[in-house]
Amino acid sequence: MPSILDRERTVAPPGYNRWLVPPAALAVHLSIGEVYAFSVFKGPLVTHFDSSLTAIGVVFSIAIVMLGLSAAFGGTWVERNGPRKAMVVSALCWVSGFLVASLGVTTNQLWLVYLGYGVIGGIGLGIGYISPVSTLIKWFPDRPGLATGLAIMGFGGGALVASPLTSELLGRYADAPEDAIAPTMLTLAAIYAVMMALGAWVIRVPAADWAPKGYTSASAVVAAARRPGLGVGGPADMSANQAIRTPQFWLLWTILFCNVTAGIGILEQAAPMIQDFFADVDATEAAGFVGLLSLCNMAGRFVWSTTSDTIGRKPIYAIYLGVGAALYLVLSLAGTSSVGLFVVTACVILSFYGGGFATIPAYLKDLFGGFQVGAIHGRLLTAWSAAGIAGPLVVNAVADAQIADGKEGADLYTLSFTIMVGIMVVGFIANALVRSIGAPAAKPAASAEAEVKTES
Amino acid sequence: MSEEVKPAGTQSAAIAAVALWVIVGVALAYGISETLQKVTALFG
Repeated sequence: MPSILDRERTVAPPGYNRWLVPPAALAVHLSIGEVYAFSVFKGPLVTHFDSSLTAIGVVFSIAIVMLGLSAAFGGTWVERNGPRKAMVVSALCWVSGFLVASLGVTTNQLWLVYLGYGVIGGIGLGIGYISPVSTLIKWFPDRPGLATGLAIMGFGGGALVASPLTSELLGRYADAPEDAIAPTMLTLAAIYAVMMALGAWVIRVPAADWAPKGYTSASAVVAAARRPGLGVGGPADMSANQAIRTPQFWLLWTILFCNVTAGIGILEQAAPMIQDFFADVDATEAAGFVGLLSLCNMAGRFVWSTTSDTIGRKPIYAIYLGVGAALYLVLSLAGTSSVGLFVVTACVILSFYGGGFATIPAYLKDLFGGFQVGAIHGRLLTAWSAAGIAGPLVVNAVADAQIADGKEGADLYTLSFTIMVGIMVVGFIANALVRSIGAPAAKPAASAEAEVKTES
Repeated sequence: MSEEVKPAGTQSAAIAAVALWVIVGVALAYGISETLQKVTALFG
């Protein structure tokens, strides 16, 4: 008898409205997206443990590395067991992570914070991140970019919600924030437990023979043929093990790595960067700049990913990486000319950064089919872990070297931005090299339409 | 979308899904409004 968590118990009945599924994904991603608000805990944790910023920063790094590893190694398990079981496992890990971390704070054991928030919570991040993606792609085969954009927008929004909420809780539970860490973590754990449980309850997978009205796989081929360069039309439904043996997988890995590394180039240093560029920008205004970047990151995930359904995955990545490189060049050459130019340019770059995250599952679906797209996506997320380590290392090492050379202000970032231009160009070339696997996308529209007529 | 939920047993999940749309909408609105308050400092 199947457990209530099994995939078979989540198959939607005929006529189920597919728009009832995205909030389940959003609930999970909004919860785990809290990880990008971890910086709010940094100051209080440094004071509480009388530790260095680096020692506390390791917590976040462990979480991101575990995200990539658990997504890579857990992806096939998620595909096999379905989204509900994956969401429950994710919720258990994510919430347990907060509980163990708060125990570490209470008992003054920093290693428990590493273990809790970093390792256990990080596993929850990875499983939770990929859990709804393939399900949404199966519900929206006609608009996979919109589907993945909706879900992954939640991850960007998670920090927007968690950041002010955490600050509020830290202020309410005690006079000093460092004395309020444990109760704040416990409160967040309770909120996320409810949200993720609701998501797991609501999630439904479509029946194997379900398709949106008017949609057939042949009609998808017609649509692909009308949009040259879309990248659709691989041999349907490759397994994750087959996919990682193709050059296309590693080209997409390179694209994601470059896109994330370049985005981190701004994210990592946003607040001090704008103050170094413009001496009259104070700390409050710098915080506003960071907030604006977060908004653009979130909006880009939905807007650009949805746009990719119309213009195609390959062209949209050419924009992310090509225009992104040009914008980094603008920052490097003319960033000091006005605050407005600097802010707008950085915002567009961050919207591309978010868009790159959200569009990649749809790109994978185009190339490898929907069969194990979640597992393939999980393996691809190791690029995120690698970029999460490489990006800050590059930016901080370059900044340190520039300071050692006696540079200051905007000059501190010129070399970093030039490196980012190079990284974006590498990603652009990798995207240009992506070819469909198999022949269907190469068929002319007329031929594909003839196939549809024959089938109908 | 004109589809409707038919079989028994999924109605409560459908209602919960609508409620979840509202919850995530309110949460995002809270996050965005708090962020915009900070942003106004930049351009204010």
